[in-house]
Amino acid sequence: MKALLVQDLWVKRGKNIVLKGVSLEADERSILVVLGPNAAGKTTLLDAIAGIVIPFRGLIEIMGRIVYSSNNPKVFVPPEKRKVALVPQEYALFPHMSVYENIAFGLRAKKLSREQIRAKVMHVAEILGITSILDKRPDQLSGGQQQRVALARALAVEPDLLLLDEPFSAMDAPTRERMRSELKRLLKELGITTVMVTHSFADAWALGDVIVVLKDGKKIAGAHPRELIEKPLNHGVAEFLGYIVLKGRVEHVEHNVVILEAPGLLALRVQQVNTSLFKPGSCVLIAFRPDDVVLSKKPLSDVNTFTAKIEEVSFTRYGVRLIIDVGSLKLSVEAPRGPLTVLVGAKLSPGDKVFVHIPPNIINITPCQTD
Amino acid sequence: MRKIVEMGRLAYCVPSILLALGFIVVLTSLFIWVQPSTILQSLISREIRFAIGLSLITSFTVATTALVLGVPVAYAMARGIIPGGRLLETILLIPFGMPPVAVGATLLVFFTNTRPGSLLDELFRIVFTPRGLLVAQFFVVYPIVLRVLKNGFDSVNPIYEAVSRTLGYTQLKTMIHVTLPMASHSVLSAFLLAFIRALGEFGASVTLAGAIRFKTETIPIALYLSISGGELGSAMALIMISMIVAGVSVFTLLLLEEKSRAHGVVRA
Repeated sequence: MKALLVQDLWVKRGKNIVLKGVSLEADERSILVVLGPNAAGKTTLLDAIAGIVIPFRGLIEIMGRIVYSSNNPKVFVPPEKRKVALVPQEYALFPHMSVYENIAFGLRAKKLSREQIRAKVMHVAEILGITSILDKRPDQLSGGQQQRVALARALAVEPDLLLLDEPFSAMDAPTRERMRSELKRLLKELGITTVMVTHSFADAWALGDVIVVLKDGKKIAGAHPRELIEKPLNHGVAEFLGYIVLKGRVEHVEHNVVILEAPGLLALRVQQVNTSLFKPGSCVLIAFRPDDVVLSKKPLSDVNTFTAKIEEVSFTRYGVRLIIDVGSLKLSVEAPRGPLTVLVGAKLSPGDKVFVHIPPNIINITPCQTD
Repeated sequence: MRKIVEMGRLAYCVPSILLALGFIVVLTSLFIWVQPSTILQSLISREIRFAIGLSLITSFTVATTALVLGVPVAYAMARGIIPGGRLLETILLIPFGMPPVAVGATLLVFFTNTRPGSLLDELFRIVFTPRGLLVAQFFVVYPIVLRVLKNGFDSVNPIYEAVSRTLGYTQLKTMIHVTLPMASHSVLSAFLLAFIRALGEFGASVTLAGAIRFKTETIPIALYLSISGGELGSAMALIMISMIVAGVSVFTLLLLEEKSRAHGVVRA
């Protein structure tokens, strides 16, 4: 049995169709991450699963129980009866209640005795390490504490499904990294099925057992994180994942190697197992990750190595982002500072000449018409 | 730099102080005319005590009723639950933009010249009775209550309600446990504004309920009767009372607002 099954879900917000036939599923005790840019329909998907918005077509099943169906007999189970718990982006801690009252809120609806409520609140608070702040008000808490309280409030009711909406968006970078690993450990320990939506790749890859990519209300990919990053299923996904995507032409095909011509990249060799898909002269879409590109002061290889000029240099947290000019092509490449220093030298300035090497085995190609 | 800051502060302080002084002068000017002993004497008169009692009772009743009937309608309008909500809001807010006398006249026509109105008047005896005061004050006060409550509900992010729903609360229970407490400052403001406005209501009340001594004699109506009868002592006493009641109510309103801000309806 699937913990969550969504089939052909269509949702409108006002006059706009926000979700267009989305289907996905989550196994019990797994973390399903829905990744997508802003306005992709991620929050609407969570709202539909929670029962806060009513879809106009499709099916939603939670732990084998149909909670929404547009088919006959039509089903709509209201949010309070779905056994899901939502942790919204803003955490939405009730400002007129203490931390204790916030956590106890859902338990009170279950009409438990005062002692039972106290025991459950203390248990969840201990797991999340927030026993010392139970008397505080939400506005006295830090971002990390607020998140823990919101999680505690959701976990206290022992939901079948935990819904997390951009759980780290309000945090600074160091807190975000710490909370990411803490949350993953916690969810795995508790074995709670979770659907998390995010626009952050780092969050998605850190937590997801399965990642579903949503764009313009449509699911464009769904796979295990490694599968998705190593070989994106189509070029739309590749583009969204930050791949450099180019259009090129097949020059000729050798044994397991396709030789291409792309703007600024003459005789680009691509290692390809299934070469039968590529005929000389045909159009291909080429995709590779910018962080797989190798820069050096001297040519590192005979193949796929091109001369380039640095146009712009900017520093990121752990590396350097370079805009480089390769013929008529502009590549935005981010590289870790250490390896870059070894290969290119410590000082990089606009106008410097470098060699760009694109390893043949990191390039994905597909015939144009299939995309 | 400091000079600029001080000049800026002056630009705010001077008009504030001048206006406050102007208001004090205007509000107290009437008391120069009459001896304090005359005012005190009037204060213990039966008629004035009746007017004060009636005003407090009708204002409290009307403010409470407007609040009870305002909460569901304002909530429905804020959350877009009712189709054609804007039209409904427009209809319910019309009396807000009408002269109170016009509201009273409209009500009088309704209760005396229409079949449903006459039936209601026959059943509940509204025209020229204290019940007429309630109806007239309600029509003047309800739009204010509705407006303040709707703003209050608008200020509560619906995500809090969504969380409450998933935690097992129905829409009604969510309203009671989450929305109303989070909009409590607006609820209190709505009540106090309604109470203050009802206390001072004259035009609609006198038109529908009449100015009948010891029957429909609220503070403003008693004041009207005193002035038209040349009883300046009573008039001054009533003015003083209405000033004190307004002052206390407004001060309480401001205190409550400050308190609700301090408790912080904060988005986490």
